[in-house]
Amino acid sequence: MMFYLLCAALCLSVLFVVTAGATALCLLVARSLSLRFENLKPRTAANWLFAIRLLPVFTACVVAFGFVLPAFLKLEPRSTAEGMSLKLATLALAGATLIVTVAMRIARSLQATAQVEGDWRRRSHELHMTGFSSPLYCVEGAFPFLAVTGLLRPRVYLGRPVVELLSPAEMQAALAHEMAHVRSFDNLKQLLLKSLRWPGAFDSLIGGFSTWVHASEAAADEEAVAAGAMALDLSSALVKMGRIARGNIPTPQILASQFTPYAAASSLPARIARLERLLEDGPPVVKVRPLGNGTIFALSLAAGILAYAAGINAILPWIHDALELLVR
Amino acid sequence: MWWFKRQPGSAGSERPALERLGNLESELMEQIWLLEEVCVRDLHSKLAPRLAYTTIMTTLDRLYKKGLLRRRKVGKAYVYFPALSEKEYQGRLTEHFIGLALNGGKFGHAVLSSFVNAVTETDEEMLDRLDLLVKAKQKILRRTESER
Repeated sequence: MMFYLLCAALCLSVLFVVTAGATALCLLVARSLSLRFENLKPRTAANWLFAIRLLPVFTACVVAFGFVLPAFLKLEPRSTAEGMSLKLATLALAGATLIVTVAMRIARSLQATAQVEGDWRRRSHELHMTGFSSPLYCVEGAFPFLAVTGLLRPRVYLGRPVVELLSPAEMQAALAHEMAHVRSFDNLKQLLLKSLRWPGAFDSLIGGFSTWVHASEAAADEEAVAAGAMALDLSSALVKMGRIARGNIPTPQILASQFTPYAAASSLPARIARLERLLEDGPPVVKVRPLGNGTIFALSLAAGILAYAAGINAILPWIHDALELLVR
Repeated sequence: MWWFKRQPGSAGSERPALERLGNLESELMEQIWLLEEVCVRDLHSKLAPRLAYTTIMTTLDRLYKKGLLRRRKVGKAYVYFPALSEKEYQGRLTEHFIGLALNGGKFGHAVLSSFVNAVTETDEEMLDRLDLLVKAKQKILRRTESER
């Protein structure tokens, strides 16, 4: 029993220590890079911001469950007489708190989204639009909105006023913007970012969640135009929607990407600046790369797994020795 | 979206509380929408012995305080009638939840509203600028098309 208790405490402690250490490191790196984000392409900036946010927890999970857990299970005698030190217990508690907090945030976001979507669905009917394959619903009522929900399978909701307000070309452009979010899994990223946000003032040190929102919104506009939507139609749709949605306050909790996301700090200035550039310069030039992002990711993952499998046995004793520092 | 939250002591006023009803409240509301006017005794005769007289009375009083029912006294008893139709309620409920989703609601914080007001004013100016550019581009596009 003590063996498994120690094992769990060690994993939780390492999870906390690595998360805290990596977060501090990311913060330093991000601070030095933050001024350069606005010079990057919107999607690149959004991806960097996402990676910086995710990296500490990802690293901590790899270290805790990929190295510490096997080292302990393989090299620690089952009949250990070691007790749990106060230091280890405190760090384990902090690790457990971290996991519970993230789990609660995820549950809260999913619950809020399900609740809102359920209510939209009750008052909506499905629309069919030529060339648009995702489920599309028109929600009755006077509230103007256009939103996409779903982490992996998108569902698009349109308020009745939006259907009446936008011309077919503007509607196509607005939907192309939303589909750009879908292709980038922005709702899933949103869930992770909201769940892994840093405490208090730390969160805003590199611009916080809103910086990612601004970048991903501008990126979705650019990708919509690159996918064939007219910048003119997209801009016109944004002007119309922006005006009727004026005065509304957004929520960061629901997992829906909105066409006019009035976040605590609005994304509209960034989007408008980008659209003005697109209107003046024309559609962005899409560089054809020999390998897509998915292929690069899969190859990197495969290389990582191979390296892990090849080297794990050699480094487990070192890790086990290092763990003694935490246990005692 | 101020009207979604009722002030205490304003029972029976014009704006009902648009919150999700409990199972019992929903069941009673459905009965009242069906019957149009009811007293506690009417509902009890339909729902007894599953629901106690006092349970129905308390729930109707709660719905009245939420502004979903109105009532008038007939003899010693109250007669309850809906403050809004089922369709109106569903409609407002949907808008309420859209409002919650897009505008904060129970997720929002009071600080946000004033901050966003300031931001939206700035946005409005930028939207005007973009609108001017869009109109200019559309004009050029129309001219080009007519020249062809």
